[in-house]
This record gives sequence, structure tokens and C-alpha cells, in this order.
Amino acid sequence: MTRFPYVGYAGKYLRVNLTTGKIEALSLPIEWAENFLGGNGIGTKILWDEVPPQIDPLGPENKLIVATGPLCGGLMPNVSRVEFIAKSPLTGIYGDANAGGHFGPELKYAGYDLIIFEGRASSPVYLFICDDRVELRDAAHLWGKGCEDAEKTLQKENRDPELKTALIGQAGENLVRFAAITVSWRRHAARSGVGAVMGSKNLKAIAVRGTRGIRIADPEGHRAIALRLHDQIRKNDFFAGVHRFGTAGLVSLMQPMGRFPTKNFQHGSFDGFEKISGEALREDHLVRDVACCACPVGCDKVYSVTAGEFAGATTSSLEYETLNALGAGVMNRNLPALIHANILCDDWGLDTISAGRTISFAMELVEKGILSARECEGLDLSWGHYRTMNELLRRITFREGRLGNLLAEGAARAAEILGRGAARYAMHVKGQEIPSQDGRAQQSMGLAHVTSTRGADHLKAFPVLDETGYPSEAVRRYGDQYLPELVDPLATRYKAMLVKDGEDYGAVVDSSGNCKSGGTFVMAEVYWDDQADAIRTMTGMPIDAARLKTIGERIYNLQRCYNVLHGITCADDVLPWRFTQIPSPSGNAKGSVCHLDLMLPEYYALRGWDGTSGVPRDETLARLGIGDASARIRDAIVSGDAARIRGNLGWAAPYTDRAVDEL
Amino acid sequence: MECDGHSERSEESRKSLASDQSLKKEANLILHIHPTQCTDCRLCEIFCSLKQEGYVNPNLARIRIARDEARKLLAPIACPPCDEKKCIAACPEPGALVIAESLCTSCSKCIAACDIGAIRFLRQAGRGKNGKAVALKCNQCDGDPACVRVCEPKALQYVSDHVIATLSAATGKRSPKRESEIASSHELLLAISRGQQVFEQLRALLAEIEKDWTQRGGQPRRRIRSR
Repeated sequence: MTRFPYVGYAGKYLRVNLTTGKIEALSLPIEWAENFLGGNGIGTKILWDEVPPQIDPLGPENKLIVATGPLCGGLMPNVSRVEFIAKSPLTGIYGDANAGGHFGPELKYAGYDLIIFEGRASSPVYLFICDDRVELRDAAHLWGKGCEDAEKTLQKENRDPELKTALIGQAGENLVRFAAITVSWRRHAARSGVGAVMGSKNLKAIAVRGTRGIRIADPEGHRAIALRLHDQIRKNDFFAGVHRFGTAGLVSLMQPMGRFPTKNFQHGSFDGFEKISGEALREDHLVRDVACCACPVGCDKVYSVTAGEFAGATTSSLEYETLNALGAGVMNRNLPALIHANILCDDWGLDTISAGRTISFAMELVEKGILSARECEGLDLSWGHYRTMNELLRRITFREGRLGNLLAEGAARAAEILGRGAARYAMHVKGQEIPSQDGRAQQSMGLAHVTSTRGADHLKAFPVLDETGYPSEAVRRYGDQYLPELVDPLATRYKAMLVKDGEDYGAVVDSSGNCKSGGTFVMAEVYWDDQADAIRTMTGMPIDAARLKTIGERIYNLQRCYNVLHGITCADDVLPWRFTQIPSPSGNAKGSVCHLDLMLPEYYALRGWDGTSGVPRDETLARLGIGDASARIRDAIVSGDAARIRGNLGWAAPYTDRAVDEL
Repeated sequence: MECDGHSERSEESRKSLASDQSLKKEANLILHIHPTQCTDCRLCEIFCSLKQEGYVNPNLARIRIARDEARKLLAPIACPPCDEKKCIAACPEPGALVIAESLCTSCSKCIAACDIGAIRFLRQAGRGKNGKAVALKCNQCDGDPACVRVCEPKALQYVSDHVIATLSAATGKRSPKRESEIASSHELLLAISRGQQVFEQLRALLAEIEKDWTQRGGQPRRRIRSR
């Protein structure tokens, strides 16, 4: 194999077969880097090539890919992200999640761009990496431990408090379908149930220490670009706010828009929002500001509770999504209880979004009389009952009782198992619970939830220009030709373009190693040209914005193709009835519904996908250099394999029929 | 008392410092470290290693961030420098305020001497007097510290090293004083600089953090693993 020619990358990857215990350190294929960049892109390529669609996501045939990008660990602002890619146990289709913190850079400093885990260990193990030393070790003593305890134990037994880990808690061990992976220090790759994939492989943890560092192709050139971008981020007032409140600052911004999902999306604003706002958090609970690796913004915080029922609780990274899902979503206005719930989710390894949404789904089932008191197994599932919420988190994690075991499947599967019309209240897209936006209050987000390749998600497209409206940013990216509609949250015009561009750029960002919250999206101080310049000077790979755009589109199309193999079509590109048929009762969005019918056809056309099936056209794939995918998806559709696999995914498309209740 | 314990040796080192004008000049600017401002982003380590070593490797940075498990306590550790200069007292080669790699015999005495572990040890063939290893310490990037340049929360600042207090020889107590107010050469010998104040603050903070480290298997003042 040719030696990997680009610096900036570590240039090597690990293939770890957990069944046989074989570990190989291999040279990174040049085609992977040149065509798919890194992180998310290379992960997609590996999934497409090596993980067939018919396999069980929790079986040994699934693979877990842990991948960094070429910028990760370097000089650019917030280049800390590590990606976890697998066939998702929650959705059954393409799945990924990423996290910041300090694990990704450490993996690269150890000399590896990515790790592919295959097979299944016969008993719990963890992977230890210190530069050239790579060992699978017994993890029996770690099994059953929470994330915090397991991390401490690993550091202690390796006599290294600087050891960085990626590990699962009890939720991942118990194959909760929305289990997360926790990385040092206390950041989480939570969506798509990647933690359950790790659990299914009997892989408790990855522990890394790297002392090799990373070389840069053009140190002076790259340093100059990085410093310029650091300075731009520092000068932009927007980031001062992000630093002050973190994503929690969004609570007060989304409330008046009617974009703060409340009571399982029955409302778009919450009368108790002030109690769970970023301002309240900072005022009452802040210990200090912290940051992920190389991040000048620092949106992470350490919070603690000093008095009352939850006194002594300390947590970090309490995000907007969590404040909504475990707050307004379930009508909980007790902030210390919410902090405690966040700690439980972090330690047991649960995705707070899916966990919160699944609990609000259960609460609504009780409200609507679908779930009987007996089935609640002694719990009071009335809205806002925070002790019930925290107890349910425990029962879900340990799959305790029939209710806990049912909800551990996620809302969409639980609805399918229950029947009785429960599906009407499962607020999901493609099996994944909808995060804390509302397509009625921000049209582009509704579209983004639907077109995301990992099921309902805001971060694939992250269409933020029309969130509270950033005209100057819109002008910077597109000129003034699309104003005012582009920045109007209730307008549908140009939103397909905004979503498509966001997905393509997002795929590049997720493949490079930087973060979407710190300068690549809302205020894109780092945009196509800067990103291309940064990658070129970091790696020496000849790359410009045009080539980068093609790579982004290629990655996103290949993810869609992977989903097409699973029988995903237009029929799954839908939002639950509540978003398209019930006018929002709240805030600026009052009276508005999400007009997918207007935006989706435009989106398919822009993407070069067939308007009636949602399948990428042959010429689109050929243009992107992945023409050979055409034959494979055609075969899957014609042979009926795709439809068969779709039938076995375990969830039904969200309910879109007649409106069933008045609000 | 802490101050008394160190006063004799530090007086000595101050004497030698004052006698050498060039060294005194270098000591005019110090790294003023504000640990409460630090966010643990490690940009200081990353840019330091690039500047000093030509590539990114935080393990070889002349600054490092010490943290407890919950990241409630953070301490960027680098040589401010302090007044005590135990490292100089410990160094068998004369005149080292900035470590000259070609003179370093890798005896590691300075590393053991520094109370805050601001000096690291690198085992690498071809470096140091005996070609095997070398001690690494902040040299303030010859007047333009890379870490200060990238520290967004301003936990690191590069400022002049004012005398901020003098120590009473009789009582061992400090009294705040400006440099201009110092009357006699005797007082100058008892001066406590801002660098010393930073150093003492870091020493106290590090003692707290190391309690947590030990619980996680850490040894205070870790040495860099060899390659």
C-alpha cells in the first residue's frame, strides 16, 4: 500500500476485530481522504462498503467507526470533534453522533485518524491506546459502572489522570436504543443510539493517550489563517453571548418565537421558561466557564446545585436541547431537578433529547388515556412530575419493569409495540425523536428534521439564518438577493436552498473535525473558502472551495443512498401531523403550520433527487463520482430487498392522517 | 511559615540576579496567569508546542493546564518566573534562566526543584548536552509569547513585573509597596514581585488539584514519556 502522502492527518487507522481480538494498524487509504475528507465522510464510506443493510444494528456484523478529521487537534478554532458512525439501533438506518471535548485530538496525537470496531467480544473489554501500544483489555470490573466512575477507574489503574476516554454507561450496556457515548471531559456523542452499538459489542471503553502530535504541511501559512479566524471570532459580539450562556441562552430567544417545544410539541412556548433559562442557570448555578479543545468560544459550563433536594449536584454541558427535552417538553420547571436529570443521563449514558421526548410521549399517552394507571407501574405520569421523570430515566437505563423496557426502545418503536393509536403521539422522523425546534415556528427547521440522514435532527442542516433572523450574515453568504424571505422564520422561500447548503457544508465540517456551534454556522466566520484554505495548509492536499462543496454533496448523497438501501423514500420524509395540520398556538408562530409540501419538491430538485421517490438520480451520483452507487440502490429497490428491510426497521412513519385532537 | 522557609535561598538567588543586568532585563516581563479565567481550551499548549517544536504536540508545550476531574479547578502552569528560582539554584550549569538545550545535562534537578512543575522533561535522542534528554521550560518566546496571543479568556497576560510588596525582615509579614517607593538596597532584596505572587497562587491551587490527581492515580509533576 502506498504511504499516505498528506500531513495534518495522522495517516494511520486501526481495525479492531473484537471477535478474534486481532488489531491492525493500517495506512489510511488516500482515496478515503481525497474523496471523503475524514470523520463523518470516511465513516459513511466505510459503512456503505462494509456494513450491509440487512444486518441487525445490535449484531456483530455492525461496525462502529470512531473518526477524527484532518483539522482535529490542530490550530483552527474549536477543532475537537470526534465522530461515531454506525448503523443506528434507534432508526435502523444510517447513524452518527459527534462530540467535542478532548478525546478526538488525543486520538490523533496518538497517531490514528480513526478506529473501526468489528465483531463482538465474548466478554467486556476496553481498548487501550498509548501511541504504538494498542491493547484489548478485560473490562469486567468496569461493566455496570457509570461513566464517571468508569473513567476514574481507568485513569487510576493506568496511573494517568490525563488519560482520555470514550465510554458507555449502563444504558449502553443494557442496549437502550438511544444510549450515548461519553468522551473526556464529560461531552457526549448522544444521537442515533451509538452507545448501544458499543454495548452490543461488549466494548465498554476506549482509553487514549497520545504523545506523538501532529505535523502541519505549511505551519506558517496555516498559523496565519488560524490566527486570523480566531481573531474574527473574538471580535464578533455574537460569540460573547454564546460564551456567556452557552446554548442555554437560546431558551429565552426561542420562547417568544413559539419555537420552544412544550408538552410533547402541543405548544411552542412554556410559561415556566424563565425558571429553566440560560440566565437562571448562570445566575444560580454557574461554577465556571470551560471549553472544548482549541475553542476560543467556550460554550461549556460547570454548574452546581448548592441547596435543596439536589444539593451537591455538579454537572457540565447542560445544553438548550436538554433544558427543553427534560424541562418544557415534560412541563418540568424545577431547574435543580433538571440539573440532576442531566447528571443521571450523563452518567448512565442516555441521549437527553430522545430520553426527554420518550418520557413526554409516555406522559401524553397517559393524558390521552392510552396508557392505563396500572401500566404506569406505580408512577404518576402527570405533566411536570420531575420525580417521575428521574425515576423513569432510571427504569429506562436498566430496562426495569415493562414500562422502562418499553420506553428504552424509543418513542417510535414503543408506539409500534403498543399500538392503540399511540403512534399519533410519537414525535419522530425516521425513528428518531424530534429535537427542540418546531417547523411551524421556523420553516427551515421543519424541512431539516425531515431531510436529515440520521432521522429527526437539527444539526445536519443547522439552518440558523432564519432562526431569529441574521440579515447581515445572510448577506455575507448570499448577497442581498434572497432577502427578506431567507431570514424570515415563517417564510418558505429559499429554505430548501438554505437546508441543502447547510447539509453539504455540515457534512464537510463534520468530516474536518470542527464544531458547528463555534464559528462555522450561525456566524460563519469559518466558511467554505476559509475551511478549504485551512485544510489545504494543514494537509498539503490540493483543495479549494469548489472541491470541498463536491465532497460535502458526495457525503450527503452517499448517506441518502445508504438509507435508500433500507427502503427509505419520500414516504418517510414526513413530519408528524401536529406540525403540518395543527396551527401553532404560540408566540410569533401563532397560526402557522410547517409547509413541507412547498419546500420538499424544491429540495429534491436542488439535490438532483427523483421528485416522486426521493431517490438520488443516476446523473447526480455520477456527477459526484459515486456513480457505482446507482446500480446498487436500483438492485435493492427492484429486487424488493429495500422494501423488505424497511418493513423490519421496527418503526412506522409518523402519523400524518387527520388531526385527532383540538388544541 | 512559608515565606520564612524560602527567604534565605531566594535572597541568594535575587542577589545573583541583581548582579547580572542582562538577566534582570529579561525578567522585566512576566506571564501573569489568572487561573479563574482559564477555560481549559488548551490553545496555549497547542500554539506553544508549534512555536517551540515546529509541530503540534501539547505534551511538549512549555505550558500545561492542570485540572481536577470536574474541571472546577484549572491552573495553567508555566514559569512566570518566580523570585525564588529554585531551579537556578539546583542547576549545575551556571547562568540558566532560560534553559540552553546544548548545556542541559538532563540531570532533572530543576524539574524536581520547581514547586509548580513548570519544567518538563523530554527524553529524545540528539537533544541536550549528552544527546539523550533535555529539560523544557518557558522562554517567553523571546518576548512574544505564543500562548498569550491565543488566550481568548485572558487567563494569560504578558505584563511588566512590578514589585508588589516587601517582606519585613523582622516580622516576616508583607507590606504592599510600589517599586518607586523602595528606598534602600536592603528593601530591594526583600522585594516580592508579581511573578512571585503568581507563582505562589499556582502553588496553592496545584496542591488542591493534586489531591484529586492522586485519587486518579496521578503522580505530581509528571514527566514526559519518551519517544
